[in-house]
Amino acid sequence: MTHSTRPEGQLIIIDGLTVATGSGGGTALVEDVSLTVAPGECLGLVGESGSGKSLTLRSVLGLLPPTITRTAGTIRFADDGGRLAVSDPVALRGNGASMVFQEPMSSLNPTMRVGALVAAGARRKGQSKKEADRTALRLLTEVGIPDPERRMRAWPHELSGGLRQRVMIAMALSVEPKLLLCDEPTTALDATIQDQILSLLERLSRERGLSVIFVSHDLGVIARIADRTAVMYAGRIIEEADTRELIAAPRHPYTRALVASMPSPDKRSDRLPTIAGAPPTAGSWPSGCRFAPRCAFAVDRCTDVTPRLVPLSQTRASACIRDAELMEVAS
Amino acid sequence: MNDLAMTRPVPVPVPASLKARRRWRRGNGKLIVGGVIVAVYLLAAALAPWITHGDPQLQDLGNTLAPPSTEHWLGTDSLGRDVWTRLVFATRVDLRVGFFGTLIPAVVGSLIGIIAGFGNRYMDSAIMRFSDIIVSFPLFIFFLALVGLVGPGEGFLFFGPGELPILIGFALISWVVYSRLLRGEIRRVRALDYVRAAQTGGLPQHRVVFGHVLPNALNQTFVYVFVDIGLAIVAVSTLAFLGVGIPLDTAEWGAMISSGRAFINTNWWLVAAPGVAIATLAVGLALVGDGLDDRIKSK
Amino acid sequence: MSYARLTALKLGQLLVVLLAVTLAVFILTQVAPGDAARLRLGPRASDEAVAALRQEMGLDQPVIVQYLDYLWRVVRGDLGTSTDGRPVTEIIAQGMTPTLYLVVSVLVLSVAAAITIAWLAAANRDGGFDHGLRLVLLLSLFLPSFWVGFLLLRFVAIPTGWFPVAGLGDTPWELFVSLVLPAVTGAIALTPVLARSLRSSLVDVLGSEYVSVARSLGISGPTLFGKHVLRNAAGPVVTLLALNVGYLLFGVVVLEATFNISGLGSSLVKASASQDVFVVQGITLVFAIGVVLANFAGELTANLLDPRRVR
Repeated sequence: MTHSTRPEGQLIIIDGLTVATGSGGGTALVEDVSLTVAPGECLGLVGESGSGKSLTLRSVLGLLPPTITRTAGTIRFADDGGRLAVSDPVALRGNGASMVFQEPMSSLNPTMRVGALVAAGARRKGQSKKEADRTALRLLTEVGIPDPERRMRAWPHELSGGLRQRVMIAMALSVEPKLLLCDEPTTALDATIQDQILSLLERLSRERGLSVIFVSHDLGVIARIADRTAVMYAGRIIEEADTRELIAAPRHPYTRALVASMPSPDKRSDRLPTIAGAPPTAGSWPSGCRFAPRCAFAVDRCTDVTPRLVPLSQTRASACIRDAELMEVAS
Repeated sequence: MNDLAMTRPVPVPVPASLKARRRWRRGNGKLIVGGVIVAVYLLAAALAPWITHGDPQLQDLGNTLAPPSTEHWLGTDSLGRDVWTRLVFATRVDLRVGFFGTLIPAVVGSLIGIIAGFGNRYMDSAIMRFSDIIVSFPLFIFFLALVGLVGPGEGFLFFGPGELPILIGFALISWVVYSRLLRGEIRRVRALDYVRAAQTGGLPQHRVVFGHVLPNALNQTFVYVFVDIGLAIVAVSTLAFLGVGIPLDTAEWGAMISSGRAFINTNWWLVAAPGVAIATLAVGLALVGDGLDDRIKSK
Repeated sequence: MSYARLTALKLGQLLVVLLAVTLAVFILTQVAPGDAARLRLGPRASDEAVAALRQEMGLDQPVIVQYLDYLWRVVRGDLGTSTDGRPVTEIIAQGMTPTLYLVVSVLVLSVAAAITIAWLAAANRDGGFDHGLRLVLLLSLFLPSFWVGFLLLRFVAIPTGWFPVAGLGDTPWELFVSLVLPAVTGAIALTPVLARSLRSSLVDVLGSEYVSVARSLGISGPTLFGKHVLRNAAGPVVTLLALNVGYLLFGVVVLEATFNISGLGSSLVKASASQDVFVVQGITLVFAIGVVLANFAGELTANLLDPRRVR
C-alpha cells in the first residue's frame, strides 16, 4: 500500500490479493496485489498480457474463470456511510461496483434487445418494468446513443462496436455503482471510437462522481484517463504513482522501459525502443525480481529476493531494490 | 520484444501436453476394450460352424423352448432350434449388413461431398439443398413402407434374402453425413489464405487441397464409420423386428427378438441375449471409433 | 428482412416441400410391385374385372395425370380405401390419437431429462458426472429401443404389475400409467442426442462474456438461467430436435410394435406387410407432413430464439 496509509475516506481497499489456478495449490497468477481507490478517483492498472491485471479486476466481483480462484487477500468496500467493511465479491456485484467489459461484440446477450439489456440492471435493483425502461432510455441518452427511443428496440447485432460499448457502459451504470471497473474497454475499438469512449467515461465519472479502476496495456490510454497508475508485471505491482509523475519520471526499470516505448510526437528517432525478451508466464516466474532477466540494470542481488513495493514518497512506491542507487547514478 | 500486444490476457491453462497425454491414454484404453470386443465378434463369425451346433435352421420340434443346458447353452426356440447357434450365425448377417450398409453410404457420400466441395456455387448449393431435403424427410418411414410393399426379394451374391433392399435403403439415407463432412473440409481448406495464394500463383487447387483435406477428412470419416456401423446394425435389427427386410425366420438378432417376444415371460433370454449381442458389438465399435478420435485429437 | 416477410417466405417453401412429399409418396406406390387393382380383387378375379377396375381406378392413365388426380383427391380428403373396405381417413383418425400421445410423452420426457442432465454436466464440466454421462450417452445410442422396451416389460411391468403389458389405458390415470414405460423407452433413445447437444451449447453459453456481464450486475438464479443462458443455448437443440423428428416418428412406430399400441405406426406395419397400398400411402403421407410441419415449427422457433438468424 502506498499513500493510502489513511484508509478512511477511501472507497475500496484491496489488500494482499492472490489469485491462483486450482483451488489452493496451483500456480499463482496474481500475487500479493494491494490497491486503493478514493471516491471520484481513477486508478489506472497497466501491464502486458499475462501480467494479471484483468484477473485482478475480475477478482473484485468474483468473476474469475472456473479453474481459477482467489486464494488470499481481502477486499474492503465503503458502505453508504463511508465506513469500510470487508466485502464478499459476489455481494458487490451490481451493489456498489460494476464492470465494463472489453469485447463489445460478445458482451451483449444476442437474444435480448438493447433496451431490455440496459433495463436488466435496473430491474435487479427493484425497479418495475416501466420504471426500468424509463431508466434505460435515460441511460442510453446519457451515454450518447443517437435516437435512443428507436435503439431501445434494436438487437445488439444491429449496432456497431462503438455503440455497443456505449450500451455496455449504460448497463454498467444501470446499477448505480460507485466504482466502475473497466477491463480494457477501448482495446477492441478503432482509434477514433476509442477517443470518444474515453471522453464519455471521463465525463460520466466526473458528472456522477464515480471512481474507476481502468485496466489497459496501453500506457497512452492510461496516461489520458487515470489520476493514479499502478504498473503490474508478472502478477505483482512494481510501481505506483500519480500518472503524470509516473510518465514524466518513471522509477522502476520496467516502467522506464514502458514509458520509453510509448510512441509520442516528442520522440525523434526512427525506431521505438523495445524491451528485449518476453514476460515470463505464470508458473515459470523467476525467483527474486521477476523483471531481472530483462532488466538493463539487473545485478546478482536482484535474483535473490522478490522486491517489495516500497514507498518512495507520499505519492509513489516502487519495487526495485536498486531504486536508490539508480537515482544516484542518474543525478 | 516489448509485447504490448492487443490480445486479452489468457488465464493459464493446464499445460497442453498434459491434457494431450491424458487424452491419448484414454483413447488407447478405449481402442483396446473396443478392439477386443470387435475381434471377439469377428472371430465368432468366422468360426461359427465350429463353436456351435453348426446349423442355425435345424429344427427339433420335440424339444422346443428348452431352458439353457449343457447341450443347448442358451436353450432352444419355439421351433427347437439351438439359440446359441442362431446367435452366433446371426453375427455374420448383422456384421455383413452393418458393414456394407455403412461402407456404401460412406463411399457414395464422400464422392458426392467431393463434387460439392470442388464444384461451383450452383452445384454445391443444389447438392446441399438436396441433402437438406433428404435429411428432413422421414426416410425410415418411407423405407419401411417401400420395403414392406416391395418384399424382401431373393438374395444376391453373398447377401441373404432381404439384405439388398436394406442396403439400398441405407445407401439412400445415410450418405448425407459423409458428404457434408467431406464437403465441409474441402470448402474450409479452399478458403484458407495460403491455398488461395497458391491458386493465384497458378498451382492447381486439387493437389494442395487434397494434400490437406484428405488426411483430416479421412480421419473424421473413418472415426464416424465405426459409430455408423453400430447404428446400422441397430437399424437392421429394428427393421427385422418390424418384419421389414430380413425375413423373420432368418438367424438375425432383431428377428430373434421378435420371434422370442411371445415367450418373454418364461424364456426371457430368447429376447435378452440377442439384444445384448447387438448392444455389445455396437458399443465395441463405437469405442474403437471414439478411441481413434481421441488419439487423433491428442496429436 | 422482417419477421413477416421471412415467415411468408418460409410458408412458401413449406408448400413446395409438401408438394414434394405428395410426389414422393405417390412414387412410392408406383414402385410397389403388383397391380393395385388385382391386389384389390384378389388372384382369382377375372382379367376383365381387373381391367374394368383398373379403368375405374384410373390406372391406365399416364403417370402425370394419375399424380394430379391423386393430388386432387388428397386435397379433397380422399385417401382411398383399405383392403378391408374402410376408408383410409378413418383408419388414420383412429390411429392418430394413440400415436400423438406417444409422441408427446416421449418428447416431454426427453426434453425434461435432457435439460436436467445437460445442466448437471455443463455445471460440473469435465467432472466425474460429465465424463460418466458422456459414456452412458454413448452407450445408450446403441440400445435397440424395442429390446429395452421388452426388458422393461419383462422386468418391471410383469413383476410389479403396476404397468399394463400392452395397449393404452382408458381413463386418464390408466392412460398416464400405460404411457410411462413407452415414454421411458423412447426417451432412452432420444435424450442422449438432445442432452449432448444441449450440454455443448450450455458450456459455450456459460463461458460466454455476456453471461459474465449479467452476473457482474448481480443477476443470478432463474432470471440468469432463463433469459441469458437457456435462450441462447436452446437454439441449436431446437434445430436438432426438428431434424430428428423423422427418427422420432420411426421410434414411435417401433414403440407401438413393442408395446402393442394400435396407433398409426402399427397400422402402417400391418398394411405394409399385407400390401394394403392405400393405407401405406395414406399413413406415410401423414407422417411425412408431420415431419415437414415439425421442421417448419422448429425453424420458426429457432428464429424467434435467435434474432441474428433473421437477416
